[in-house]
Amino acid sequence: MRNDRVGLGWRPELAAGIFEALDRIDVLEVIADDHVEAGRRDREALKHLARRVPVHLHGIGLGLAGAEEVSTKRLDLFARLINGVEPEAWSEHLAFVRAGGVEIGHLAAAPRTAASVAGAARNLRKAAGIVGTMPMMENIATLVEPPCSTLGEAAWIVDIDAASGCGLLLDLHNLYANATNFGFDPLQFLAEIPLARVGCIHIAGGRWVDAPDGSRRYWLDDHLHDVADPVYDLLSEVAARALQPLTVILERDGAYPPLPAMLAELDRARAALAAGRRRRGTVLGAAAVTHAG
Amino acid sequence: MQADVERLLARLLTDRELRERFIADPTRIAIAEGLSAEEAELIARMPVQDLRAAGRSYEHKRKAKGEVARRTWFARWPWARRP
Repeated sequence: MRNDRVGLGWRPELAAGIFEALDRIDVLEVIADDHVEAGRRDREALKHLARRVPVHLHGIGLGLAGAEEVSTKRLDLFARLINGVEPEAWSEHLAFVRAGGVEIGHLAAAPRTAASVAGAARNLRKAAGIVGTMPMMENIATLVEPPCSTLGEAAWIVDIDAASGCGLLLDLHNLYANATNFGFDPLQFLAEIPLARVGCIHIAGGRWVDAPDGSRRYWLDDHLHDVADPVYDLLSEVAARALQPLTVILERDGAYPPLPAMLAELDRARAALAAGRRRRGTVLGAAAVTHAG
Repeated sequence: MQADVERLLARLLTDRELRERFIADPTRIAIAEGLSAEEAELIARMPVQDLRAAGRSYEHKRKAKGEVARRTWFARWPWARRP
């Protein structure tokens, strides 16, 4: 059985350091959108990298969880990249990024309804049909609860996974941010989603920001800070509850510390996973007692 | 319809002027943008501070995305060289 793995989001600013530290990085995640229009040499270079270390390609611009049908042209580009590079896996977000001709420019939370479940499942089937494999789908952070929703976030994710068979990329910092901003229990969320369907985990950091009118604060998922302590606690919790080997990716998008500091974060994630694995027997035993009762 | 709600939401997150007009009179704007009366009533319940915070965050993210050219070709890096 494969062991838990911990890796890093590949960023150009980190590239040289990553190359020197590949013995401490189990897996790399590369932003697919940065390379979909790349030339043959770049795709071959990426493929060569994927033969040295497991690579995941991560999409950010398909908008698979929106009401609009995902563009065949965009999927064709993804298919060319993914079939050329042959990554271990690919992933996208449970988000929409455009609607009615408006490009939002980032991930947005779609209203969580039966209609968006059906739309996401349709788009995911189309993506899998063109690319050849189904992406893992990531929960996103949002500062505004999607209006007109009839489902909670966990139930919406459960329904999309069940309708499409997509599998999940569980972003623990997005979970932490949403739980903090909207006042729900992240452990309950973990109890409600099918953890057995989680193929990858993201960890990241953020910061407090004030509302424009100063009336409240939000925890912002900015990927510019060290991984927040509660995220390591959630990682331990997932490791305690999940049976399958886990792949964890540290995401950082700027304000980069020296690479040794990031490698130390990877080691801390490994320690959190190990602590969770040690607890797993205890947690499962307690769950069995609860169900029996 | 889901598509109508997403279209208005996309505009509210990208168009500050529309966002402020919506905040001033959400139901009227939502109906004018094609939502049903029921959808308009639901979308009007969005907390104003959350919508403004989200709009500001998207503005920052779009600006940052424009400033950072992430694409660098792998072919430049040593690992790209064939063994």
